[in-house]
Amino acid sequence: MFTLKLKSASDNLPLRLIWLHGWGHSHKALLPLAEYFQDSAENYLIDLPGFGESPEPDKPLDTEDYADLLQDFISSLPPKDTVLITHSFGGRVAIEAAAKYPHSIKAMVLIASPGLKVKRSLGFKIKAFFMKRLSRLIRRFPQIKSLPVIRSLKLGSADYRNASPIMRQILVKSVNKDLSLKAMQVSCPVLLLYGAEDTATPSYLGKRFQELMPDAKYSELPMHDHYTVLASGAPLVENQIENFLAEIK
Amino acid sequence: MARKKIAVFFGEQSFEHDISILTGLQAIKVIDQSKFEVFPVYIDLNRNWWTGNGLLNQDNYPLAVKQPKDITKVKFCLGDGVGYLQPVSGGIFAAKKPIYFDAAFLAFHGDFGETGAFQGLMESAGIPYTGCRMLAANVFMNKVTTKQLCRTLGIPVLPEVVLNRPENKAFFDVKDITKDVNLPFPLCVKPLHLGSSIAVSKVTTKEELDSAVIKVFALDNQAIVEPFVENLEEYNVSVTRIFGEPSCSAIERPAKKNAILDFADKYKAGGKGKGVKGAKSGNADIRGLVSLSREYNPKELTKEQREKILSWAKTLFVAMDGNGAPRIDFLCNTKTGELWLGEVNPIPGSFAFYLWENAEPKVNFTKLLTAIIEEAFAEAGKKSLAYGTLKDNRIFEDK
Repeated sequence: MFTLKLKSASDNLPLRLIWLHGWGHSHKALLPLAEYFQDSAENYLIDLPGFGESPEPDKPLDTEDYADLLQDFISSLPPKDTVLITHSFGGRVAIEAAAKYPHSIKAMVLIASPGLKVKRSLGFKIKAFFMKRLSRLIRRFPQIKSLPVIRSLKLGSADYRNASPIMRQILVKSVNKDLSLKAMQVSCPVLLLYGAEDTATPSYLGKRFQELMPDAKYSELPMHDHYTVLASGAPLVENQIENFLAEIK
Repeated sequence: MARKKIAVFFGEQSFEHDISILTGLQAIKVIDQSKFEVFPVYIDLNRNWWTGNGLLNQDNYPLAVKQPKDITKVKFCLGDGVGYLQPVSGGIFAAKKPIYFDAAFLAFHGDFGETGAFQGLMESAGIPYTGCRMLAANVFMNKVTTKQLCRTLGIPVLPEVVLNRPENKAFFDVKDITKDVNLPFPLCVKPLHLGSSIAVSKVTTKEELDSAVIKVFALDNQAIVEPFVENLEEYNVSVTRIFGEPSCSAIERPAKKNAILDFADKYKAGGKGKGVKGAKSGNADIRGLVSLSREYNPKELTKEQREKILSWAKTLFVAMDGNGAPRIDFLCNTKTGELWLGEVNPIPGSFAFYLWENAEPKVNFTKLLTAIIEEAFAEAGKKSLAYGTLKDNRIFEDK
């Protein structure tokens, strides 16, 4: 697993931040945010297996398997207060890890984290209904897949279409996993950050996580979506994290 | 504590109208909304004022004849206590409620919001506003006055000749105007009042000078002619006292493609740059100026040069009692090492946040804007001596 440790002014910083990226991203997506904390904490950025510079796993991992790998990494380091900071898919891994290995994780910042059921519009449900049946049909009659009509339908999400066969299985596994029970087992302080305009992980997910997690704080970033929270919204996120880290000290 | 309501103003009848839209939208998205409640106010090229959430979408510019529902025309009302915005078209039965706000956040470039004019309007309306006060903004936006001030402060500036566009004359011979230019070629010609490198040219002959001056006169009533600096490198720095004592940002050397940065180079190089994957064009990251590659605290500057830049920037800023975080641009002849103060931008593009992100200590964009807004209230507070408290000045007694 590829990991990057940022250079910092001192080796004796009391806090360790571990950054977990979202689906289709790598550590690079979180690098600008992490650099902001370069002099205040020890920073590790990870490419989860199958992303960025980390090779694909041989078998389709579950988010819990990812959490185990993360725990292996954490326990390979000298002990230190560790905060996980995640975007999107990275949040699923972090929730699993915090539920399973509570002693390894002091706190978490989940930016636009999925993990709970997303309410879908009627139009989406109707589309999904037909797409599901169409997919079954294709599985039975693979030859129709090459028909231009079928191709133009763009079956599956963009993330799904862009993924390799193994990564597709991982995606399907993770998307279908509801983390409500795991969220209830998260005992550490959590900061939940959501873009008010996020459609991929709508902000109500954050509010529900807040209800499920015993020690969670929810904050919404107006005018930002699933991706701008890492770009033009980055300074807002930096300040929220900074305040949170000061509170949990 | 209730959040203060901040109107973010942008647009105006300015050559830098479009860039101002980008700066305004960019600012709205990074202002800390846990501290401030923000809303946009856009002044279009025909001096119509607009507000509403539809202004936040970049795709709505230029505004169409038929407005989306979430964009409302407003009037700015004076003469009824503190100034406020009044929506123009109300419902049929009831006028829409006036919109009061606690401070004006100015994201203008050029006329009339960076030049002191809009600042004056806010002073009259009794509304706190961000950035330089009227006088400082006005002086900084006049390149010649700024240079004259620099000379009295011992800050080196290039010699210049100012050319005036003849008044009330549709036809004139430009040769009559340029005949008194007694500086040796090559020369640099630019408009006196405009920023953003608009209509800046390098000229090497009398003929080129004439045509460059005509180009400037189409945009500005005064042209400024200066010696062209050979082996030119530009260095910019931002200066502020929003964090207490006057302090400077990182120094940058902006990228350059041509001999002189022109407008297109400055703003169009990045095009409509997309941000992170999946960002919609309407919400795409506006990188504008920032997309150009730039070098922070460039190594070629000697310690002495660095210190000169920082101390001159501070000296001018303090002398003019500046506010906000203006960007001060310096020119350097890299062969001789000579430095001159070039110009001041009271409201630089993107608020020059990238200079503060690279400052020591680092200040991120959100913190920069928070401090700029807080300074607006502090500045307004300084002037809030109530008339009634000055008993000696009263002639008419209260009845």
